[in-house]
Amino acid sequence: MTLPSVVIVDYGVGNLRSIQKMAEHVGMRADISGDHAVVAGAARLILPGVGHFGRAVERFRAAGLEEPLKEAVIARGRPLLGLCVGAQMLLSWGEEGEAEGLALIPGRVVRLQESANLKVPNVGWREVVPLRDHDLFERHAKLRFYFMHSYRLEPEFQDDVVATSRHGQDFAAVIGRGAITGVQFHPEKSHLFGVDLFQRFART
Amino acid sequence: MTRSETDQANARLVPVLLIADGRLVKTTRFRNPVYLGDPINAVRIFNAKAVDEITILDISATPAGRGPDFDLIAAICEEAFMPVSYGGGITNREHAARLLRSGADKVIINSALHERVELVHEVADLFGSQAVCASIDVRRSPFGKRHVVSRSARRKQTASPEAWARRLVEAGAGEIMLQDVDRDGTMAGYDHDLLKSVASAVGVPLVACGGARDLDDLVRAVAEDGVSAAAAGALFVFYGPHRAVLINPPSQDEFTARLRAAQPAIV
Repeated sequence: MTLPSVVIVDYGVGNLRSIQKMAEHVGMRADISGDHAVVAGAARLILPGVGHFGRAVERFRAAGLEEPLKEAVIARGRPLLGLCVGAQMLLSWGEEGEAEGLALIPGRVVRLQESANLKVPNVGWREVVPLRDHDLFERHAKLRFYFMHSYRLEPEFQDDVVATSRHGQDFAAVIGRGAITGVQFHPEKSHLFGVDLFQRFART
Repeated sequence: MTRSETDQANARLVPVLLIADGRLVKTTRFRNPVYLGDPINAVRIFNAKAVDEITILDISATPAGRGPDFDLIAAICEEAFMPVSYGGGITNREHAARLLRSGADKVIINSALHERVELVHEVADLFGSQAVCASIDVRRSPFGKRHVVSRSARRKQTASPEAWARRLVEAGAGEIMLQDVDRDGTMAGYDHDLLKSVASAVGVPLVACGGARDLDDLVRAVAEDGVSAAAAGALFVFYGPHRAVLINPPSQDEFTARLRAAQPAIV
């Protein structure tokens, strides 16, 4: 039996080992790669990302990875999971750096609302509420994940919001369209909840 | 300062793992480290127990005059399926940057701040205040007066815990960790007066550490004293009167359920 495999797309940002460890923990073969052919031919993909939206997409494009990624995801219909800034990159435009995203899901990335009672960045464990059925979540489960972000996902169409969390107001914690999913939180830092999500991703 | 019930229900339970020369140990009153095992193995157990955050403190770094053991911390962070805070031997922002790149989510700084409190601001400026926790070690004089100590409790400082906590928050700390040297490893119960006094002195989350006795004690620190996180070492790694090594923290769900049941603090 061959293991389900995933390619963690490496474009030079962030620490990818914790993601790889989590994928391996649930029985996936996980390769960290920025090779165009490896990305284009992947069975499934994780798009990581930390830090600044504009700089992340710039580096991703400079590495020549947009076309190989889209070949795997659009032409070949392979599952893609974006994490944190990697999820934000799935949308069309980001306020941070005012840059174009990959536009795999229509929408924008905008700054979280800030006030005396609402801290930005939003850091910590938060409840996540699924709004509909999805491959990566139990519909009625009580979910908690670890967040660390200053900007939020704002898809153009409500149908693309899979799950929400709260920071003053409800915001999209998970977006998804077809086999493309983006999660604003860090499943690789969310122990049992992250393990469950990765296990489900391995079965997509 | 008042807090919402939501804040209280979000309070964290934080196991503190002490490292000395690469080995997992537990001290009593900051002395007599007892060897517990391999830190990586401990982290794997905490994964299985699904704790929401762990704190790693290298107690051998500052006394040896060295910086953090970056390779060990990277190895621990790789194994940890939860956020990791690290403290021990951090004296400059390059240390902090390298730790955060190695997979740590937060750095904990203590002794270096008594020489240069601006370090808090320098790190917070680069990585945000949520990435910087300033730690305060507290001891009592023979007459019971509490004072701040540094350098593994070897050096006495003049400031009161409350005044020093306020100073660290002014300098940009996103969180304060309060370590009670006299109760460390004793499981005699937190000093609730101290916790209450420091928690009300600052507007940022306070992490209580030193002396935690049992689940009731942890719940009380949050519900009555106003701390945001209840940390413990001995309580989570020792079992029974003979202190057999058994890593067995209460679950976050159990803790949260107890907090929800507890009356909110009357302010």
